[in-house]
This record gives sequence, structure tokens and C-alpha cells, in this order.
Amino acid sequence: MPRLDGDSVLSEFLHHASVCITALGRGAWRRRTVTRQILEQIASQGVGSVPIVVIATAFAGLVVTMEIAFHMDHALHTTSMIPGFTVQFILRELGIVVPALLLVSKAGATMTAELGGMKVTEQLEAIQLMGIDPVRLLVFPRWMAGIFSTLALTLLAMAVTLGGATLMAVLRFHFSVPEYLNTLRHFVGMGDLVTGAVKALAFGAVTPLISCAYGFRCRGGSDGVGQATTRAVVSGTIAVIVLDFVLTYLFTLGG
Amino acid sequence: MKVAADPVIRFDSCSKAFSGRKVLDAVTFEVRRGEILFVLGRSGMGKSVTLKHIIGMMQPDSGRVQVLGRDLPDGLQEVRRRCGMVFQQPALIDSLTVLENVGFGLRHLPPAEIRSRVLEVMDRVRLGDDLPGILDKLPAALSYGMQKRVSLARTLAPRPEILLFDEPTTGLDPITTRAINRLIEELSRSLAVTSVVVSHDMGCALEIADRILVLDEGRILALGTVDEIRRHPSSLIREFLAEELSR
Amino acid sequence: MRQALRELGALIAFIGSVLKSSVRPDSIHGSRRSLVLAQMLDVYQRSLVTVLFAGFFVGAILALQFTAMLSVYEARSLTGGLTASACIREVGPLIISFLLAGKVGAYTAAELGTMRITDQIDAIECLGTDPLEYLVVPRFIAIVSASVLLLVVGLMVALLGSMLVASLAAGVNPLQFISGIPRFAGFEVFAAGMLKSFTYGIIVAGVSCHQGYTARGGALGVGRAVTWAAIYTNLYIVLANFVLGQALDAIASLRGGV
Repeated sequence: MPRLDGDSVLSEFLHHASVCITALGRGAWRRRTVTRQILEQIASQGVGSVPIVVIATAFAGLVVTMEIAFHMDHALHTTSMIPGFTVQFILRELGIVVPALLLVSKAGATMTAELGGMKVTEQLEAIQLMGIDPVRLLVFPRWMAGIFSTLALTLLAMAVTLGGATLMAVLRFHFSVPEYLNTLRHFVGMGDLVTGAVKALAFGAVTPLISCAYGFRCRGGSDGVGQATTRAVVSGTIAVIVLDFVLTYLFTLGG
Repeated sequence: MKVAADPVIRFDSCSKAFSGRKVLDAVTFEVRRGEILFVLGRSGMGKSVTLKHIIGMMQPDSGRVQVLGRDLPDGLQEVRRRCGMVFQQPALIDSLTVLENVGFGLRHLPPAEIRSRVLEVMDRVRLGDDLPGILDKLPAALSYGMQKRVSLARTLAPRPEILLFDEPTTGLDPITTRAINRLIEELSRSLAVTSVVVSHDMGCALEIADRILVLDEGRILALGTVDEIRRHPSSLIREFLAEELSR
Repeated sequence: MRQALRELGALIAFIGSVLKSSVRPDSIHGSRRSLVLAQMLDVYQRSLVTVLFAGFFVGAILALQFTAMLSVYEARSLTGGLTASACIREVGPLIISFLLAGKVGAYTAAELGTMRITDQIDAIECLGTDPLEYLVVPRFIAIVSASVLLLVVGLMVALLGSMLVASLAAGVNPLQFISGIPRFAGFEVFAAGMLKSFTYGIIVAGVSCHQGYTARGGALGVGRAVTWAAIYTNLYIVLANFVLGQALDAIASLRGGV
């Protein structure tokens, strides 16, 4: 089990989760200042991650077609099923997990470093002394923005990965674009879309809170911020993988 | 205060520019064996760059640097072996103990000899009273002033013939500053090493320097003995002096 | 885009000078082996548990997906072979390099960056030791070797996780699971995975050492080095994955005569 740094980060995480969910229940996002902060966070977390997500998922699409073709050829001695398997794999796994992992290592790391810096320079204490809950002030907008960005980037990633996969299938394995779109209708049911949405929602809701919790529990010194960031990225990655397993398990059993 | 006249460092119309801005502009000067030369000037006027040229961490865009009779960068290894540099920060390697840090430049020697050489230089920088408990500590466990001394000891351990100091007293309290300045003076006199000290502290330059070099806009504004500098007509130098007097 | 290319050029030059420093060991007085061993120990300690943990679950996820897809063909018994092959060829090298980048790469960039901005690297140089040889070469060797060795270890736990899930959730007989592996995971597949892991290891080590070694501008600069190390590592690995995939494919089809 990777260390969550004692139970301190875990309890911080749970505290952040409860504060954020309460704030959500009270409709805190409707306050104009909060809305503006959420939009700012979406700009930095979401929009800032678009280039790397697009590049990475485009190549992932190209590669996944090749990999599936290789394995299909080997296992079933046919390449006719490439579109079906590829599309399923992209919509159930690849298009969701890849953007989530990229967000953890880019947007998440930035958040931990930012909040950790504030913690080290005692800005968090200063906010608290003014009678403001720093979790509500700082974490809630990041959390909302994280959920929204993850959902939006997942949609983008799915589209780009499918595009890359189609391109490779057309160029290398001589499928036609209509054939591919047909498969999309054939192989993709409501269930896949629900699975994808639930997974993206789960990743988007959990990983920003992990990044924030590590930032809030950051220890002093410039070394402390670096360490908090490293740990946050690794814990976030592990969280994505484990959540993915649990959700996949539930959905395959249920479906 | 005897100063032999043979030069150990020679800059021959050296120029260096960073993204178009000239930091050294055809600079020519010599440092004589055994003297303490202070290099003064405002921030960003090529003082540290001058030091980095002497120890071969930078090469001039044009011109020639000679150290101990060797052209740089050809004689780099030999020059590094015979020169020591003291950085503005302690720059101790944080994963190594004090003993390993001070002995870093001596690793070609057998361990027993390293230890005795380390003890010797620790005594020289007035850390003798803290021995031997301090040797196995990591730098982070020491106060800043102590780290500075350990750093100085590390530079002295390989017995350099030339010592280069980059702002040795910036950020230190007045008492430690005076102690470090005394140390520089004493080391230069008793070990007969040549010292080049980059600083913007006119006060300690007047106190311990043999000669002073003032750089401005990449050019040499003045080079001379303490008395010559005191009488220099340049307004910048007058300003430096006036500020020192007012303290 | 232009910045990324310039960065790539600088990275290649950096790796070149690291290689040059590694072939002429003259300044660290025979202590290289202990330096390398210390770094390897450090890297393995940092990453082993994470890789084991992640590998187990990745295997389990693949098993769930593969059994679902293969059940259409009544070919669930192939799950073992497919998981093994997918892990070695593709998923394993990628996940491991991703974890190494997060766990070790970020740490290395921060560590070297801190040493750079506190003049420690300059001090080492002035004391007559080549900092590339003393600091970077051992880290390089440790990270690249970790990338390759962790692939083998990660593969084992991935297969374990996959087998467990396949037998519990999809009723695949463990013996069938294991007996299907050699058909898919032959020498060539293994060599391809090793080559990928080796290459990604060089990317993780190269980018994080380079970013840290050339950091500038105080504690902020160290933070920047860490962030950019993560971004460039991801970018280069994605590109390398594609290029290597194409190259290996071309070799395979040449040899197969297809």
C-alpha cells in the first residue's frame, strides 16, 4: 500500500470532501465571486491542459489500433473486428483514463504546488485568522472546476482518440470511415456512455481533492512543496487506477 | 605587506556579452602573487562573471584569460586544482556530512590523510572547538554562519594557491562579517595565497585590500591601491566612499 | 512548438554530454560503483511498492475488459496471453514510465534543481569533479535500469491480478490462463517491451536530470523545472511510443514477409 503520509492527508482529504459537498448542497457556486473563481480555475486547469491531452490522445488512438490489430491477428486470426474492439476499448478505458492521468500530473501538480506554497508562506493561516474557511475559499472552486474540466476533457479525449484510431484503421488496415461510424452505432450502447460518464465524474471529483489535501498538508521549506507535489501525483495516479478497477468491476458485473 | 610583482592571473582584453548586453568590455588587468584584490561595482556589472572566467566556468567571447601561467580553457584541470572558489551561499552538498564535504576535493588521498587534512583546515576556520562532533553532521544541522565556515574550509582543504571569493559576507550579520574578513586577511597573509574578492562592501575593501578594481558597465573604472582609490575623482567611487563614511 | 523543438535539441545535447562523461571516468576516484548502487537503491525504494500496487490493478482492469470482449468469441481462455502481451508490449512500459516520472523524475528534477540554485553543482565543479559524472550519470543509470527491471516485476503482479480477476469474475481456469501465455508472449514480444522500457527510461532520466540541472531563478525556478519535466516527459514518451510502435511493426512485417 503506498503511504498516504500517515492518516493526516487522508483526514485532510475527507475534511475537504465534506466541506465541498456541503458547499455544493448549499449552492455556493451561485455566488458571483465563487463563480468567477471557478471559471478562472477551469481556464487554468482545463484549458491549460488541452494541448497535452490532444497530443497524447491522438497518438494513443493511432497506437491502440495497431496494438489491437496485432493481438486480434494473433489471437483470432482476423482483423475484421478491429473497429469494434478499438471503439469499445477507447470508450470504456483509454479515452477516460488517459486524460485523467494527464490531469493528475499537470493540473493536479500545479494545484498542490500552489496551495503548498500558500501553506509554507502561512497564507492559509492568515486566511483562517480573517475568519474565512480556506477550504471553502480555495478548494471548493478548484474542485468544481476539476469536475467540469475532467468531464469536458474526457469528451475531447474520446473524440480525438477515436479520430486517431480511425485514421490508423483507414490508412493501415483499409477500413472506410462509414464502416467505422457504423461500428460506433453497433458496439456502443447506452451502458458505455453511462460507464464513461460515471468514471469521468469519479476521477474529476476525487483527484483534485487529493491534490489539494497534499497541498494543505505540505511541510515547510522549498523541499516540502516538491515532496508534497510528488506524493500528490503518485497518490492521484494510484487513485485513478484503483477507482477505474472498482468501477469497471461494478459495471461489468452489473452489465 | 610584501607584494611580489609577478602576475598569477591575467585578463587580456576580455569581452563577454549576454543576449546582446556587454558585461565585460575589453577588460585588461593583472593580479599579482600574494595580494588581496577587491573587485567592486554595482550589481550586475560583471563582478561575478570575472570570477567565473578565472575558474573556467565561463569563457570570454573574445580575449584571453591566463591563470598561473596557463591559458584557459586548456589548462582547466590544473587551474581548478590550484584555485579555490568560495560562493556567496555556503553551497555545501546537502547529502554529505561535514567531513565528506570538506574532504570532497581530497578524495584521491587515503582516508586517514583526508581526515587529518580536514581537521587541520577546520582549525584554521575556527571550528576547531566544535570538533569532532561536527564532522558527522549534515550541513542542514548547522547555523548559517557555521555553514559559511565549513564551506571556506572545504575550499582551503586542497591547499589552493589562489582563492576566489564571491560576495563572501553578503547577508551575514556584522560580527560574522568581521570574522570572515579577518579570516580572509589572515589566510592570505599566513598561507601566502592570492585572493580575489568580489564585493560591494567598500568598507572591508578599504580595510583589508591591497588593491581595488572598480568595474562599471563592463569596463574598468579604476584600479589601484587603497590610497589611490580614496583620491580617485570618479563620481561613482566618491559615492561609494561617501556611503561608507556615513555608516 | 518552436520552444518544444529547441528543448528537444537541448535535451539531446545534454544526453550526449552525459554519455561523454560516463565513458571517461576520471574525476570521481573509483567511487562510481558505490554512487550508482546508492542511487539504484534509492530509486527502487521509491518506486517498487507503487509499481507493484499499480501493476496488480492494471492487470485486473485488463482482465475485466478482455474477458468481456473475448466472451463474444467464447475465447476467454486467451485472457492470460492477451494480458501478458498487452502488459509487456504497451501498457507496462507506459504505466511504469508514467509512475517513474511522477515518483522519481519529479524528485530528481527538484533535487538537482535545488543543488543548482544553491551553487552546489558549481562548487562540485570548482573542486575538480565533473558534476555530470558525479551527480547525473549515477541517476541516469539507476532510472534506466529501474525502468527495465520494474517492467519484469510489474508484469508478474499484473499477471497475478489478471489471473485472480479472470478466475473469480469470469470463471477462467488459472491453468488455462497460464498455459495461454507463451503463445502470445514470446521472445520478440518481450524484446519489444524491453526496448520500449529502456527508451522511456532514458526519456524520464534525461528530461528530469536536464530540467533540474539547468534550473534557474530561485525556488520558483525549481518548481518550474519540476512542472516542465513532467510535461516534456509525457510528451516525449507519447511520441516515442508511436515511433517505436511503427518501427517494430515494420521490422515484424519485414521478417514475416507480409
